[in-house]
Amino acid sequence: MNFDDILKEFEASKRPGYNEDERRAEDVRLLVDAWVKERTVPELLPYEQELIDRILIRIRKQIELIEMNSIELQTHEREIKLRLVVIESELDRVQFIIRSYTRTRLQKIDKYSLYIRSNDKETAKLSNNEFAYMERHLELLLELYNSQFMKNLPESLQAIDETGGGVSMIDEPDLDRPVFVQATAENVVEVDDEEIELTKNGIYVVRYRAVKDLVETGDVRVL
Amino acid sequence: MSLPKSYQQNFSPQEINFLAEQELVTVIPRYSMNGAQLIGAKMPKLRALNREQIPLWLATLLKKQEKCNIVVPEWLSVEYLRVRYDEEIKYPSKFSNLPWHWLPIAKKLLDYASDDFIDPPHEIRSLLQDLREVRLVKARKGIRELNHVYIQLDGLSLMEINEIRPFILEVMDQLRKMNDSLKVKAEEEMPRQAAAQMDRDEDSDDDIYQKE
Repeated sequence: MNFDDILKEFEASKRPGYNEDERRAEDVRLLVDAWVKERTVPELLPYEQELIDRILIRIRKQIELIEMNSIELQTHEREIKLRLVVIESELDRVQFIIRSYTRTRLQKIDKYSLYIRSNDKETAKLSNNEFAYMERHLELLLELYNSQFMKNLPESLQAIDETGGGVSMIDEPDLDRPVFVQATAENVVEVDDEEIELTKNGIYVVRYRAVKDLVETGDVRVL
Repeated sequence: MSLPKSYQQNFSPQEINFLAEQELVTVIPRYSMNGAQLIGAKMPKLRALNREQIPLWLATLLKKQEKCNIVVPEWLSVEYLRVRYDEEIKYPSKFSNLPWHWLPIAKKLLDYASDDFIDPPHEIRSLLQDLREVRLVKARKGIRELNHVYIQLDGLSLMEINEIRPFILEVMDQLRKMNDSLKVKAEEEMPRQAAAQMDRDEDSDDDIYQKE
């Protein structure tokens, strides 16, 4: 092994993803971030398909491990018991985030179904399951509306996606809702012709539209 | 409903606690213990009396089983907190620098590891309470500065942010809407004013003619 190899190995070991354990730690951090983001911004964000898939596989393995071990538990000593408690606690924590992440998304999908369906870019943010859910949910909802009152209305009043007359019936996420953010880099954003200088680590409340791009690049993080 | 209204664009205090429990603390294990493969970062192998960094949730779990002692962070000392308190008094328009999760971490350690504190826990508790109150007053005073464009709140911790979040978001949103409707009104009136101006101009022209 020459010097270059050693150097290369050293650099590779610093890269996230090299070491399986680091990657796992990083994935849970990313999951927490995705959850916080989804909860705080007004719009629906793209579904974290690969991340969630990776974590779901690991969750399944942990559940299997717990089941395997609890069968033999009676004969084993206490150390294993404690280890299982640790494993179970962590499993609960990760499952909690995944559930809350999913619920947050479902709430937005319910609210903005018509908008999401009318816009390919929005539809692309859904996972396959979420899309199926949205279609079915909307179908049931329309069926209910129809059977309960819509069928008694004149035909011209039956639309649920009217946009004329200055008032849209399609709910859209309000991108002008303010959000709490922390800047991780210096930037200038413009709100109402006013320039706001974001200093590193500063905490601001600004409307989401002004920092949306910076949230995507990671120059600010939502809190 | 898949997500209650109070959870939309906000977190419950328990959820902020949850986030704080992900933070790392140093522990001194009392016994040696095998590590465990977890979904996230694995639990390291613990050797008796060898310091190790583990997440707070794991540290309190082990502490409850009397398997370890927690090294109380430096900022949870009477000396450190007193300096911060003096700063809060000295600079009325600034928040002193405390850890991002100071409230939940302090509470958790006081509840589960009060025997690991070097300074008397009751003194720490009362200092924390003083800090909390003086900062709460400041945060409330800051509400006066609310406007529709932006507000800067450096130095607040996540728990403190979460407490005032619903109020601030709603007020700023309403101010923004009011401001927008003013703008729309101004734009509507502009052509009318311009027309009125032209009328007057014509009138004055007429005047000149009449004078001639």
